[in-house]
Amino acid sequence: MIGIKGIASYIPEESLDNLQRAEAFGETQSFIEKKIGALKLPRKQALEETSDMAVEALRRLTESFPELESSGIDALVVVTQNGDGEGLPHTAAIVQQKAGLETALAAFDVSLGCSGYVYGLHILKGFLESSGLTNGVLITADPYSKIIDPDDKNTSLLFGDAATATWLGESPDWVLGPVLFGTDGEGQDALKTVGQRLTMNGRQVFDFAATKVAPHLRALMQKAGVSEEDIDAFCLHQGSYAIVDTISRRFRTQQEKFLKDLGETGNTVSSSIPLLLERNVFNDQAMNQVVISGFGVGFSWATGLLTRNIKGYNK
Amino acid sequence: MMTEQQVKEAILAAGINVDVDSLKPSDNLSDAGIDSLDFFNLFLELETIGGKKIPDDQLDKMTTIDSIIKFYAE
Repeated sequence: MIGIKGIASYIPEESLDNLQRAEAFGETQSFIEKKIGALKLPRKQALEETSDMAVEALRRLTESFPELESSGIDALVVVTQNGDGEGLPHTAAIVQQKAGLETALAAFDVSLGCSGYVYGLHILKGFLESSGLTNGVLITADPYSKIIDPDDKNTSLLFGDAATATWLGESPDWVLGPVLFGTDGEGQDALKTVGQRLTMNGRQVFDFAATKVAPHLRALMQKAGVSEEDIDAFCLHQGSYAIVDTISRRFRTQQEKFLKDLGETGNTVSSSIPLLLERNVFNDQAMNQVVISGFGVGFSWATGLLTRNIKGYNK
Repeated sequence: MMTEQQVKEAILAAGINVDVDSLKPSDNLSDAGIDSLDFFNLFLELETIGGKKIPDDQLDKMTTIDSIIKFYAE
């Protein structure tokens, strides 16, 4: 059975101070602290490429989990929509070369945004199992700083750069449970690049998340045969405090279970869920069953269950 | 039709932290402390109650309880 064995991450040291920038955008510090939630927005170096961030996350993964040898990696998936150069060739191939991985490696990109981690987990698990392979690494690296217009208030206060690497293999610590996916291309214009610059209709994106995600969480729990009381944490994509709060209000008695941790990172697109898991879930032994849910550009959304691989929980 | 009380209930349902009891129909909602993300939540609640979506080009006009009541009366 393939599942998650570990996560590592890379957050660039340089960052923008959102509290300092608030006034320039006509916002209060309180708005940044309570509604956006991102006090800092990490920024990659100008010459640092998406693949460099991916390689650093991978290096930290093999450092944290020495039993994962680089030569033992069978498959590498990079979730990004802001890959190296102009997007061709695929960034996963560049990561293979820069990280010095074996050439007997399946490597490909997945073009998804904030839903990409949940999709990626199941794509890689299915790929490994159907191919008889053992070890896979799922990278998320989608530096929106490449496409943000620094003067655009709608996006400039939200997005931070980060990369994560998740090891999928046999005898996992966390089992991937049921999952549900969704797509609505009616939202294609709400978040897109125009002339290599990101544009966002904030209200449309907000409405999508506010109306689609809560029912999706409930549908997933119904499919999994669990109740909201059984869930130890809801790990939603960290779009902003406001969006997590809006969704959690639909679960009045469980609101404290909706994790919020984007103060030092901002919205890191497909990296936000693995960052939550790494920093707030996997090392907390009280956490045994969590729901993960990613949603955004497309519109695309995906919700899944993760269960700690211990007796009594691994059904 | 939408009443002043319904708008105030929508503000509360949207989780907006303002004192609705002291809000007058002509008060500017932004001045009362309702920010841009609060408005997104408020519009969703209003649309549920009023059964009509406020078009993007009308959003800037929704500055007071009175203007919201007027929109839903049209």
